[in-house]
Amino acid sequence: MKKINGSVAAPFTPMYENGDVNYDRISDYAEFFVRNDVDGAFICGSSGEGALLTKEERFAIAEKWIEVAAGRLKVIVHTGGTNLRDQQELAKHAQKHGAFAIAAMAPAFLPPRRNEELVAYCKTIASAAPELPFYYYHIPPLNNVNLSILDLLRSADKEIPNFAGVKYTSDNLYEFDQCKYIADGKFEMLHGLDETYLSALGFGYTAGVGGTYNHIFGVYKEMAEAFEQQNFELARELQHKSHLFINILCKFRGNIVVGKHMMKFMGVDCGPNRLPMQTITPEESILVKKELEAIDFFSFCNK
Amino acid sequence: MKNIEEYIDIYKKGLLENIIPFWMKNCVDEEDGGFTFCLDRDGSVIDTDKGVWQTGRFTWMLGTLYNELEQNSEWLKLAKHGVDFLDKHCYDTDGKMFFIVDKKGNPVRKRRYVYSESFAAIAYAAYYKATGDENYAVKARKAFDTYYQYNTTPELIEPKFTEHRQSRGMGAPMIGIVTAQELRKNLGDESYTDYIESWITEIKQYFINEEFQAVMETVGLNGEFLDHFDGRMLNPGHAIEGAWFVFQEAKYRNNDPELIKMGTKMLDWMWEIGWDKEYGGILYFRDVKGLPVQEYWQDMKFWWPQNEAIIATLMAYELTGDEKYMDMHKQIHDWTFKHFPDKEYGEWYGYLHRDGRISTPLKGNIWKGPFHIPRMHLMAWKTLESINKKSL
Repeated sequence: MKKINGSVAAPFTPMYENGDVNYDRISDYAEFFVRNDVDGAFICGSSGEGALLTKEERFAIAEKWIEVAAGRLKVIVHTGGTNLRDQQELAKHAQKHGAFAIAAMAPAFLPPRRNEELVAYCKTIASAAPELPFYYYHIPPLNNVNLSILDLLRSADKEIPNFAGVKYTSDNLYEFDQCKYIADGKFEMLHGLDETYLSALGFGYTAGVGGTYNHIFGVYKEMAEAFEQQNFELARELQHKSHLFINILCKFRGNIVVGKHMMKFMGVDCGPNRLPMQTITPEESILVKKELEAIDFFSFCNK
Repeated sequence: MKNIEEYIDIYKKGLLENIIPFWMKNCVDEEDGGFTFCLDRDGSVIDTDKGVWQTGRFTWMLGTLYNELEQNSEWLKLAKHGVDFLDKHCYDTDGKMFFIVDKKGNPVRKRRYVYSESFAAIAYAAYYKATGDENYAVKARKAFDTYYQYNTTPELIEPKFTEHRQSRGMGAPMIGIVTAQELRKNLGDESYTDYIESWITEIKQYFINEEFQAVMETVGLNGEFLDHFDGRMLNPGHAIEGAWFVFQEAKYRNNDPELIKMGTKMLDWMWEIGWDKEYGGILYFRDVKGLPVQEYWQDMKFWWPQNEAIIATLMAYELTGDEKYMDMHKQIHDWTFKHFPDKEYGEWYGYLHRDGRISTPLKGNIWKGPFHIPRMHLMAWKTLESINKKSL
């Protein structure tokens, strides 16, 4: 099974002021990623407000991303939601249109309670796109599904032929590190919590999916290089820099809201959020910029 | 009566064959860097001090000519000369900028307020646009941030008066608007619109006075009328300049009718108050109640209010199609071009008596430099071209 083996950003879904998806902006976005050395795009996940989009919109967004990525970015289509029938269609569609891989988080409503339910859930989606790698998207802070990933991997090894790995967005590094020992290391673990990037490097992981790769990918790239060269002091400074940035995200309703808004500052205006997310107001925007200036954001952000 | 092509020709030739060459020839300090703007009539240096405002402004002008007219490498080279001097000599250790430095770049004067920063911001932004060098985008944002913070955090700027006469001025929101417009244009960051919106609201809320039909220059903290010399004093050129910043925003927002209304109101009122019906030209200060003004240069004709009125009337015409503005434009154009240009040595005088006689023959000082005049030429030329295209 082919691997991602790189750094994948989770783009926001560009929208017009009236809330319609702005498909044209996606091509600017792809250029922006290419320009900043990002390897792929994990679309319609949390950052992409996937759960707030209709199935038709998700089809169209996937087609657009695959088209404009033009082989330069690995496009991973997130199918996650509450309705498995729709998810199968999204998976099938992704395979038909040439996505690199698919991924799904567990539903927050009527969530799986036991490993066997989670395995069945993943299998249903993965089997709809048998030629594509499938990644389970583990994000307990958002969906409150916190089943054992080690158990999931053990079962998937036997039951889901195209189960490729996990996008692991949790600070449980104790579990995260052990995943690489399951099934002789056949699963690709994608680190998904930018706040603990340095710890993941410490455990030997290099591939990841990040929300803040949208803004400060250079910081992570440099951190990985510093780590590689055993310049740990620099690596720690860079992780702190990322923390200062993430603190601002937390202060203004999180990455999905203020992170999306910040794209405007870098020339890729992604427009408003969908309800129930509350878009940053013009007054807040000015405060956000003030905080960003205070950490010198514009000297190290993506260009 | 001249037709549009003839006006275009005047502005274009004036800019490229007179104004810009005059400064390029006379103000560049190859020895110590930067520019000496304090020039006599013939271009000789009469004071070697270097104004930081003018340094930012000329650098902006050069970058803008490069970005918007042609990629002339001489302009870019001089713009680099400008940003280098700003970087090297114009910043204090607290991040704020100086107001005047000497020939060698040693600081001579620093002020409470932050206009050096606003002009540096637009200079860096234009230079970033011209070169793509991200460092200058960062510097532009930083300078803008300083400008914004100092103007919105009361503790940062020591107040001009005691607590018994607290006031706010038109200058900060007005210059804020045009600075943010420049950064938005050259950095491609749409979010500068948020600042512009807040400053437009501030002007609407506090300075546009329906009762007096005037744009106030200084009001109380909550917009209240201060019935004193300073509170009554109007600066028509300043308000008219503000009017075209609002027009520029209206154009950016697909000819937003509310903003056009706001801009024409500002222009109409202040033209009525500022136009000298006896001698022509825009007067410097007026009293909102028609009382005598304290400042004694109040009836002089400075170069810049005329320049701003030339731009504002043309933009008003472009946006409304109302012939009255074209007539006003011709009126101010003709008076200005009759009295200000120095036919012998080139460039313009800056300070005339009320009747148009020369008061001082200098071409540059700490306040007058290569900014209002070349900006006006460029904008008038380009606006007329776009009017011409529409009427074809």
